[in-house]
Amino acid sequence: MPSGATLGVFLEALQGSRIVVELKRDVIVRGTLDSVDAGLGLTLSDVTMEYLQGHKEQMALVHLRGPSVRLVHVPSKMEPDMVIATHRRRIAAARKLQERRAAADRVAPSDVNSANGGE
Amino acid sequence: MALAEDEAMVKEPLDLIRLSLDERIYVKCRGDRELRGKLHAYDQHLNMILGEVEETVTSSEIDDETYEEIIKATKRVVPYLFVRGDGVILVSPPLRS
Repeated sequence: MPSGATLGVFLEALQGSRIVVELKRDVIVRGTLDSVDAGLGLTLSDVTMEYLQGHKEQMALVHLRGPSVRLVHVPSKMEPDMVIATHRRRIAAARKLQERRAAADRVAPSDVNSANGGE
Repeated sequence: MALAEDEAMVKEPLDLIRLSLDERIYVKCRGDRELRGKLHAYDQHLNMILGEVEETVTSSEIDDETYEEIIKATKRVVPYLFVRGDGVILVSPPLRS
């Protein structure tokens, strides 16, 4: 999963939608986005690959390495601002939860000590 | 209010790009490509999300007979685009062209 600090989270939000990916070697890949990895590699299913010469290939499952990607066409129905805002909220909520847990962990050791001391 | 001052301060090069958020920008990319669009989001790798983008691809051919250079610019418009940062050369406010 991409870290929240990069735009990979935006690509993650596209999971499940049909996208068009342009590769650096001038190949157009159309498919349903299954997942995004940390290096922004994309796994797509139900894929059609269109080559520059014109011929097309159908494939069930394809993984595109991050560095091979030039552009990703985003469904025009999506509003990037809202999608990013939703993701930012999710990340902020997760971070708060993590901080609360870390704070609880800091408190817990002294509780254990006092319990032992009490006995 | 202190937060607003911090946001307005330009401490590092990426801050200049931050000032262009929600503005139209010009992006020069590898492969003789240029993009003009509204900057919705970016990250430290210069991955970007652009809206209402016009992409211009410039190619040059040499005529077989006259040996003169023919410069061709192909344009297309895309509603929303995710651009991978490693293809980006420069980002700037739009140039008049």
